[in-house]
Amino acid sequence: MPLRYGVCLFMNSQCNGADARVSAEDAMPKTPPDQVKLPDCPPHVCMEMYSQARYLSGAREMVAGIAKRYGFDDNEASRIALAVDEAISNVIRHCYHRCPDGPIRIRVWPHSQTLDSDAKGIIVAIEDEGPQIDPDSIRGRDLDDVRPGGLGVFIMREVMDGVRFERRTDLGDRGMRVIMCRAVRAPQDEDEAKR
Amino acid sequence: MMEVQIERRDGLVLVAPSGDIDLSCSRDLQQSMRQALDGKPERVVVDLSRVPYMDSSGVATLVEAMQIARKQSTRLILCGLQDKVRSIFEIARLDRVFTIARSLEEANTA
Repeated sequence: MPLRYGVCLFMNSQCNGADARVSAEDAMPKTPPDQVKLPDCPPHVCMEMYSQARYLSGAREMVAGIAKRYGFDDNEASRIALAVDEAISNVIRHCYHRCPDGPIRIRVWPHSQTLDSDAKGIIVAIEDEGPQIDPDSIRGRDLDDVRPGGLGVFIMREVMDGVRFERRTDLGDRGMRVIMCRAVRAPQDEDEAKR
Repeated sequence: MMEVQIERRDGLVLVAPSGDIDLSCSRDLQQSMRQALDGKPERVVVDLSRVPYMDSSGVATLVEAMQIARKQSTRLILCGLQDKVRSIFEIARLDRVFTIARSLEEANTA
């Protein structure tokens, strides 16, 4: 579907997160990719943008702002925004080859049982409408191989609890999706993660 | 918008970008780094104290610069990393690959 504007943002006031299939417990580190699934309710927030890097800062600010409202601290919220930045940058570079008119959709859900309860984490999906590829072929590079590039997927996997690449099924033979989830850490979890 | 200032003095080149560095401007930083390394200076200091955010495209640019610097025996030193920027170097385990100074003064004398 062509975008009417460079960036389009909407918030869903109808959805309650009760149907989200990914629970906060599932998202504790590290969630196997086959357990990272798209919630079967509409997203709480959705942003559509063209494949233009100038919109990356807006996407980061949106995701970081939401993550803070879901209970992440500043540092964690910026790391989640970094993972989303890397996912969108990969789409701009490798899916649309920097063509400026490729549609990208960023969808956000909380990990929560009801619409009003506190979120226990965040689920973010980034979708494109480019050619499909084998999800298993998307790998981060070996860090011992110090060279420019190839870090994005590694960073996404390092920052988030679970990352899953999959083919979209709603656009025929086009479109890929990456779903990422991250649970809010209890203070003791944070201490352990730093060790 | 990111801007980059380059200053040359006595075999030292100071590169001082300011603003977020992401895919929208990492090519500008790449050009600045290549310009700074041109002429094989003894030392290039990259002052990141005015860079609040960097993604992997910015890091990749600095990795490329480091590789060029090593080939031509230029000392490349990063300094003034803010927390979010330091964080990505740590996530990518590159904090041990780069020479990172705490301040511009330390970078000038390291």
